[in-house]
Amino acid sequence: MPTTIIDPIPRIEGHMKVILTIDNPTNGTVIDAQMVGNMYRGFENFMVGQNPLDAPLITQRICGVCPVSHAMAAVNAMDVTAKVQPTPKGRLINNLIHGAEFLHSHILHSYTLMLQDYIDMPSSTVLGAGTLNQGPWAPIYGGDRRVNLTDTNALTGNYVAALTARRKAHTICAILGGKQPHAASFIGGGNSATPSSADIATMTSLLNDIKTFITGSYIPDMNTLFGPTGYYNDYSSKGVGYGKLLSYGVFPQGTDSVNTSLLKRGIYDGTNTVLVMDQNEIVEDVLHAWYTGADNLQPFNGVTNPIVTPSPAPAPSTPTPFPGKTGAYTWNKAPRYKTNGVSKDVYEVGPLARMVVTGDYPAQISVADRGLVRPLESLKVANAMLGWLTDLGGMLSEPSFISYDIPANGVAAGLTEAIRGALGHWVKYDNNKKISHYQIITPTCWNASPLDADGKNGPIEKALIGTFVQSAAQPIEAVRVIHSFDPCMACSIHVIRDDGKTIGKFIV
Amino acid sequence: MKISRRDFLRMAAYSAAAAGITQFDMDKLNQALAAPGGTGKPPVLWFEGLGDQGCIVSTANYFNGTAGIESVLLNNIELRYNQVLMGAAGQLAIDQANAVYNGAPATPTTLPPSYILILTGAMSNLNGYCILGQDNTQQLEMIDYFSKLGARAKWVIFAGSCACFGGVNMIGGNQIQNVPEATLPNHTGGPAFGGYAVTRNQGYRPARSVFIPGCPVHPDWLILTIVHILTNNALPPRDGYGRPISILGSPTLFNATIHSQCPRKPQHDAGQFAVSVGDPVNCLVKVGCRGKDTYADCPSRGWNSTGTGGNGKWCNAPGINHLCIGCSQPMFPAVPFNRQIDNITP
Repeated sequence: MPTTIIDPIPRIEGHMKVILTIDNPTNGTVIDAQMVGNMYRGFENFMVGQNPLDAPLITQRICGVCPVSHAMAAVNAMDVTAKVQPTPKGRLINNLIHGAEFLHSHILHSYTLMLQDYIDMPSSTVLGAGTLNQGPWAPIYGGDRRVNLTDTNALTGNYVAALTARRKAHTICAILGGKQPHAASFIGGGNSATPSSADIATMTSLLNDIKTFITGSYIPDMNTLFGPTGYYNDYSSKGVGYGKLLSYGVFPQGTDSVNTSLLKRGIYDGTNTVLVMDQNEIVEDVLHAWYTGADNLQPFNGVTNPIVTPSPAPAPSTPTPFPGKTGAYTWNKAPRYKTNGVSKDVYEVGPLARMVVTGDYPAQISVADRGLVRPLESLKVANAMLGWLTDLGGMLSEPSFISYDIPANGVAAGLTEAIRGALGHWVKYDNNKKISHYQIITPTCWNASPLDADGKNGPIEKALIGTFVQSAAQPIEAVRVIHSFDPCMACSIHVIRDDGKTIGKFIV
Repeated sequence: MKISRRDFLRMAAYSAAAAGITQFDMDKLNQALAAPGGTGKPPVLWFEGLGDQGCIVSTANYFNGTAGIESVLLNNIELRYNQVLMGAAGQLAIDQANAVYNGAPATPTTLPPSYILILTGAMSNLNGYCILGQDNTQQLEMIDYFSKLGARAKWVIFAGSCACFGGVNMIGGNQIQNVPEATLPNHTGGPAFGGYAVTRNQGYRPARSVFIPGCPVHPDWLILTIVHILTNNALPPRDGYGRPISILGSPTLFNATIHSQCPRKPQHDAGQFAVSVGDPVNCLVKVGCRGKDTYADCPSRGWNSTGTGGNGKWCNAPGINHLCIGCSQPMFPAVPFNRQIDNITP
C-alpha cells in the first residue's frame, strides 16, 4: 500500500510527522495512520531531586503555548500534598491568568494555526493583491479551497485582528503573572500577585476588547467554515474517532474544586455523560513508543526511560532512529482510561470534551464540532472572567496566598485542563521534601498517542483512518483532521537528562 | 519609595531607551529597504529545536505602540520557514528552506540572496531526539540541517536561552557556568545544548552570530536586533556572551543588571529584605531573586505591553512579587530558584 509522509506537520507546536497509508497512489481513503512525536526532552526525569516550590516555574517550560496550565497542575499537586486550599483571592488570580491563556490559545489555534487549511490566504486582496503571496503564507497545499473571495478577505482580515486579540489576552496574563509566556507568580496556597484597582480596570478593558472579537468575529467566522450552512459543513461527519470524551475539569469556583468548577470533570462514554473521572483508572502503555518499561502503568507507578541511540549512532538517513525497539514509532506514550474500572478505552480530550461533559455542547464529535466549540468555550470563559474580575476588585486588600511548609513524603495528582485537553502531574516528595517522582500526561499524549498494548490506535490515528484524500501527495484533508485536535508536541514530549550515555556527534 | 537623584537619572535614561523600537526606527528601516539599490526584504529561515515554541509565541506579542508582528512579517522580512506560522507542510515546507539555501552563495554577501537564520530551542547530539522533518527519504536531524544552513547565512540569530545556552533542557546536564567567555568549559557532548557551543565548532561565531537569551526572548529584544542588523548591515555591539548591549546607538537590552533598574533597589540598599516570595515591597534577594547577577532590561522595558520605565510588569515587579530567576544568563536554569540566602552585602 502506498504511504504518504507529512513531516513536518506545520502550524502545531513542536515536531510531529504522520505516516498515512492510503488505498490508492493518487487519491483514496486513509486505511492506516501513525502519529510520530519527533522530539524528546525529558522533564519527568530531571524533575526528580528538584525543590517542589520550583515545579511551577520549571514545568511551565514544557509548553510556551499553555505554560499556565502546567503551572496550575504543579501548584494543584503542591496544595493537595499539604491539604491546603488557595485563598479566595489567590484562586481568582489563578483563574484569571489561566482563563486569559485559554483565550490566547484558542484564538491562536483557530486563526494562526488552523485557518490556512481552509482558505487560500495568498489569494486574498484584503491587504493588497499579492501581499500574502509570500512566506510564511505561501506556498500552501492546494485542493478543496471552497471559500469565495469576499469571505476569504473577511477571514484574512480577522487573521490579522486575531493577532491583536491574542496579544491582549497575554497582556492580561502578564498583569497578574509578570510576563507571558512563563509567568512568575504561581506559588502554593494562591498567587504572589497583589493587583491594584488600576490593574483591574486595565484587564477589564482588555477583556471586553477580546470578548467583542469573540462575539463579533470568532463565533461567526467558525460558523462560516463549519456551521450547518458553512463551506465545510460536511466535516461534521469527518474525523470522528472513537466517540469517547474525557475531561479533568478546570476553573474551581469554591473550596470544592471538582464539583463547582466552571468546566466539569467527567467522561462521555459514547452514550452517556458521567460526572466522574477517577485518576486511579488512568494507565499508560509504551509498547509502541521509544521507551523501555512495562505497559498498563498508572502514572504514580509510571517510568519514562528513553531508548538511547546505540553507539555508534546510525546515519541521519536511517529511517527508524531506534532499531533497538521493534514496533515503536513515536516519543508519545499511550494513555488510556479504564471505563468503570475495567474496559481500557481510548478517550479524546480537549475543548469539545470539556463542553460536552459540562453540558454546554451536544455530544457531536467531528472536525467541524471541534472547530465550532472553541469560540463557544472562549465566550464562556471570557464571561466568567468578567465576573472574577469584579469579585477580585472587591477583595484587593485580602491575602493573595497562604504560606505553608512542603510536607515530607507528599503524594498528589495535580489535575487541570490545558487548552487542548486534560493535563495531569503525578508527584511524590521524599522525606527530605524533594521531588522523588514526577510523571506528566499532557493532552496531546492522549490525542496523538500511538497504538496501545491492545492494538488500539490513538484518537488522532483513529480519526484519520477512513478519511478520503483528494491528493495523496498533498493530503490537505488529513492535515485538517490532525489540526482539529490542536496538537502540541512540545507538551507531549518527555525530556532529556544527561545520562552519560550520549554520543559525541557534535564535539567542540 | 525613595529614589535617589542618581537612580532617577538612570531610570529616566532607561525609559527613553527602553520604549522599544519606535515608529521612527521602523520608518527608517522601511526606507532603507525600499531605497534605490536597497536590498529588498531579507529572507529569514527560522527553526525550532528542543523547545516549547514559547519564543515564537513571545515574538508574536511584538507591539511597538503602533504596529504589531503582522507589520514586521508584511513589511520587513520574508519569513520563508517557521513551523508555527508557515502554510506549507511536509516536503513543500522543506523545499522552501532548501530553495533559500540553494539560492545563496557559499560565502554570504548581501540580503538577499543571503539570508538570516534564526534558531529557537536547543539542539541535541543524539540521533532521533530532535528531527526537523524529512527531505525526500532523508530524516533531517536538527543539528545537521541547522549547521548546514548556518554556513551560508549572512547573520545567525540565536533567540531564547535554549537556543543560546541550552536552557531548561540543561537541568541535570552540563550547564555552562557563569564564567567569563575565555574560561568557558568546552561542552563535551551532553544531549542538549545551545548555539553558543555549536557556533564555535562551526566557525561562524563570533563574526556572524548574535545571542539573545531569555525564557522566553522578549519580542522587542529580537525585533530590535533584527532592525539594527538591517539598518546598519552589522550586528549590534555585544557582551562576552554575544548578547546585544546597544541598539541603534542607545545602550539597552543586556547592558545592565535587573537589580540596577529595580524599583526595589532602595529597599535593598536600606537593608529591607523580604522573608518570603510574595512580598510586595521589599528586596527579594534573600529568598532567591537573581536580579543582581542577571543582565536584562525587564524593569525598564516591561513585558507584554504592560508599561515601561519601571511601571510595567516583570517577574519581580511590585505587584507581581516573585523572583527574577536569571533566565537571560548562561547558567539558566540554576536551580533551585526558591532558596534562602543569609549573607547579603549591599
